Amino acid sequence: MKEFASKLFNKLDQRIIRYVLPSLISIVILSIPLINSPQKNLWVRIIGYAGLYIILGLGLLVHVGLAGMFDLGFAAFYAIGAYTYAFLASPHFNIHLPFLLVLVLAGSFAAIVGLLICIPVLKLRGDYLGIVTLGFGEIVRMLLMNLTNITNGSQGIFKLDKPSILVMTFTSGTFFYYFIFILVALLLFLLNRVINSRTGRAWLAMREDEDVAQMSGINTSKYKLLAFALGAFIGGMGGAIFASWQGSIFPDNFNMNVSINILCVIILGGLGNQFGVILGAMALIALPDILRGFSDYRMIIFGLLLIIMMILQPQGFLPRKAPELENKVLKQGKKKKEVQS
Amino acid sequence: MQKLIEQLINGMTVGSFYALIALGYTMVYGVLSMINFAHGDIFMVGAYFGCFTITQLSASGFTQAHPILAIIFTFLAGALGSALTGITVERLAYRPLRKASRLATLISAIGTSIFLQEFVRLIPKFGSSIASIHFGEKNLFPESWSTAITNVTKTFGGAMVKTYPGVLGTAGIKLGEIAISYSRILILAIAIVFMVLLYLLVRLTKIGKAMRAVSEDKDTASLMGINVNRIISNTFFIGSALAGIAGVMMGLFYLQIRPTMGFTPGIKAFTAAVVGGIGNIPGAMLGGYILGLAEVISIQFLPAVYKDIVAFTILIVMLIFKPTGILGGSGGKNKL
Amino acid sequence: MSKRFFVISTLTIAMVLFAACGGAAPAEEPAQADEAEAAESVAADEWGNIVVPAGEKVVLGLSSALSAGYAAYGQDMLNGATVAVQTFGDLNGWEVSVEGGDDQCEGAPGVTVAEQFSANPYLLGVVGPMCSGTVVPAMDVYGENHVMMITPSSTAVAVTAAGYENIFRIVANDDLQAQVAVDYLFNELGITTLGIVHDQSIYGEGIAQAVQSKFEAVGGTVTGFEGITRGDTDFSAVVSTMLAGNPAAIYWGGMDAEGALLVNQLRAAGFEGVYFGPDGIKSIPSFVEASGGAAEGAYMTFGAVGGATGYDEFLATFTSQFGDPVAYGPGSYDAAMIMLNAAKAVSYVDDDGNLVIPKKALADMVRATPYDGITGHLEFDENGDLKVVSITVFQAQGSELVPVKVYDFGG
Repeated sequence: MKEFASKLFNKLDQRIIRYVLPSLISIVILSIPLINSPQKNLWVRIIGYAGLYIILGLGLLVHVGLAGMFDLGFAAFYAIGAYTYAFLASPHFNIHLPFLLVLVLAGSFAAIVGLLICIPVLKLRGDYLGIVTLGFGEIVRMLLMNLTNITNGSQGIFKLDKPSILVMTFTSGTFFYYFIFILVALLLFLLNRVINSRTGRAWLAMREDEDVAQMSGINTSKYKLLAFALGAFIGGMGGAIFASWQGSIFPDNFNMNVSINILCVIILGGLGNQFGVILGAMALIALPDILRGFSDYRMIIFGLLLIIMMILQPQGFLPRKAPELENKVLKQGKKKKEVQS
Repeated sequence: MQKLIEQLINGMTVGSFYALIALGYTMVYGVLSMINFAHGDIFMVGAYFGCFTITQLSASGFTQAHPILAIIFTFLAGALGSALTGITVERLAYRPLRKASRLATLISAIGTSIFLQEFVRLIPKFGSSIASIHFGEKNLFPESWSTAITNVTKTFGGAMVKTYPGVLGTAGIKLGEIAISYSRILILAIAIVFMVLLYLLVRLTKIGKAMRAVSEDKDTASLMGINVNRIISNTFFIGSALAGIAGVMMGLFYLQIRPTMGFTPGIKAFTAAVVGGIGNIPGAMLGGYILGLAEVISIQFLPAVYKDIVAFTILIVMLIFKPTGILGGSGGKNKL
Repeated sequence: MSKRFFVISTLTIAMVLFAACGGAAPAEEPAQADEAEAAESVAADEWGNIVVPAGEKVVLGLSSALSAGYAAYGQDMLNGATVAVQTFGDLNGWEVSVEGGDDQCEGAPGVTVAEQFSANPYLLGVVGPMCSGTVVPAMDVYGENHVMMITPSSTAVAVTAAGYENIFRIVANDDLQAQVAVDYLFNELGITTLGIVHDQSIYGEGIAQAVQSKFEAVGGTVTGFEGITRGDTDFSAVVSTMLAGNPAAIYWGGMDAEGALLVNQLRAAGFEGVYFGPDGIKSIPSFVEASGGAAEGAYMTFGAVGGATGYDEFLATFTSQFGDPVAYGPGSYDAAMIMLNAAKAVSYVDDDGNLVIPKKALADMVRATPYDGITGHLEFDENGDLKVVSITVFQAQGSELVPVKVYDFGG
């Protein structure tokens, strides 16, 4: 009897975590722009900006958390997406393509660059891959800064088009807020599917031990390229959204600090867990802005927090529940067996 | 032709800085397999300790009377300051994470980097706050102490750029048409001397042997009776001291220091270490000079702003085609 | 996470979105909550009112870099505004407090600070932002929310070019600074060959480009145009490229830290020509000290000059609390005073005992009222720029910056 009760309780618990909690969080997030308060715009902006970092974090998560590829220069894809938007939807070259189209193009272009970067570094691992990506990130930023004929250099590009979908043009922060979080939900859904797919399992294998994975017959190169392209695509989309939201972009918006911030987001959240990214983004992005009251001491507190966080909880807020994933994999395997037998 | 040689000399100067800082990176990577992102900031801390020392010495007239001694003290202060900072950082921010994932250590290093920069910047504020701690009406410190604390902290750190008194001067020697200042010679000399000393230390002394053992295999080394923690501390001490010396040198030569000065040299030095072969001490020196010269040569063909792009491109090309670096290092086999 | 959960949440999100879209999409209300139009009040202000109940303080915002590299400049601005509020006293009986917002001299934080200030219902206006790179993204927020914004230091032309009626600047813009520099170099000093170096910032590169085009327009030759990376210390590359072109003078577009390093390295490499820079290098002691003496004889332009009416009293109050002003402290003081004076003139107490400041009336009052400040006579044109502006050319002589020529525009 007791066993039954505890099993039931566990199941309920699980249901709470699985359904109730995320629904609650979603409701809170969704209703923020609806509150009627003078602070509304501020909150919309802060939480929305955190949401943007969730998107970027998810992109980097594909690189680092899912495929085990250490990427320290993710801001490059962010930048490429943003500048693609600036080129294709602004008075700069006088091209004005529709919003959604540019978003996809921005992502695609970033993905292409991602592939190009990935090809020469396929055999690099660990820290070295990190350094190379860091180098690429900086090179992209410096090129953006110096190819002034194309990018306007440090002066930046202004008056980027406001998004227009079908016949409506949106200028409000609220639109971006919702758009970002819808995208977040979509990405979470998609990533979930991908993780449970064959590709996801290949990534898992590669992440655990690349040599063994290769020996098991997994074409690691193909999956690495795939991961890099997908992550870059997401990053590029994030960049386009950022560009259209801020209305102007400068090369300094994409410096190494940004790459590091995105990395911190996924580390704080715990690698391998998409929901961790949400928490990480909220903690890293929303928190300093909330801490703004301390103004002068903000950064030093931030630095200390990072250290303390790592010491106390190095796996992040929601550590990778590798066994859970593996259990799922095993379960599916069992099911297959049952079907077969 | 003359211009080219002058440029090459410039390259050697810059390369010396990169080399000294790179030594620290490479040593730490050797024993801990970690990239100490805060190393550039340890370099910065040394520069500040040195600045404080030389400013005080100059204010009291000591420098004018005994210039060489003053410079030596300055270097000592910088080296010590950095070294102590280095071992403290290792103890507090890295040691607890020895068993954790590399990314955790990386984040901790980033946090340390931010902390060090901000701390140096905020020192005057902390100083005046401490000086004015009071219980009700009474101050904790007597008046003279309060003023002393405030003044000391104000002189030591702060957001604005600090200037080293120009003790080195611009005098130099002339080889034909080419002028080489004494300070450039000094920088080169210091770099080479320390590299040689370090190399001898690692190759010939017992500590050096222990360091090599720990970088080969930490666990086996401890089984052999080596106090791994102590060796790691020593490594940080020495590596950081070298960075501190580089910091003082930078201050004496360029005259300016600021809390954020460690970032770019840090990355460049790291590039240098990788180019030479990370974990390899002569490699770090070699890498530093190669990088310095490459930067300087590149501007003969490209606009000056592309200098940094050249540096990174070298890094990337190196890692793709010869990841172990020119002289061979740990090879980047370390996984996540 | 199961498929079902995601379907449910997506539907939920979609539903809420449609609901929200229907209601909120078109108008983005200005972020002031209290559109308290007391029924008996004077004709409602086009932009809404600032309503401060009795017992609350009126807030004067200040946006500048309060942390990191340029904190000294930012803090200086904060101090200037603080002295202004102290000197001004109360606003029709309401106490005024200064609130600093840290924009780190960057765009994205600047926008957040702008949102924060705009969301404050007791905010009178904002002094700053300090940096051109911050103003340009942030001004959309200030403009859309009709928040009074007066900057004493952002010189990029774009600041007043957007047409926002609530944005003002009490310093000459970079176009004028460049003009003065070119005129002085070409006409006063007889320089015909010029090398230009900039720091790749919105401010630095902007003014460098302006100098380049103007110098070529008067017939001079620009022998080289190079950028350096901010934060770098070794400029030997740029130095050698510049000297290869053999210019008689070198113009630096950027701030004092790199400017000092550059002049030091130029002199060490044997450059004996003229060194000229913008207001970013006019700072004692930073520039002169940091250059180790190499800055001797260097010229710089600065838009706002002290020594006007009331400067000495200001200086006394300022130095007793904060030490010497760094650069934009006086400008910040004037900006705050302009705002406070205008507020005093247009505000009134309504029947509920609240202090009401109509926003459009405030902007109009600022634009229409000339003010004799400690940085000179300040009067605005319809763009928000100063009608009459004077730029002074200074030269570093010893440890002083001595004015050598004054240029007046407008008037």
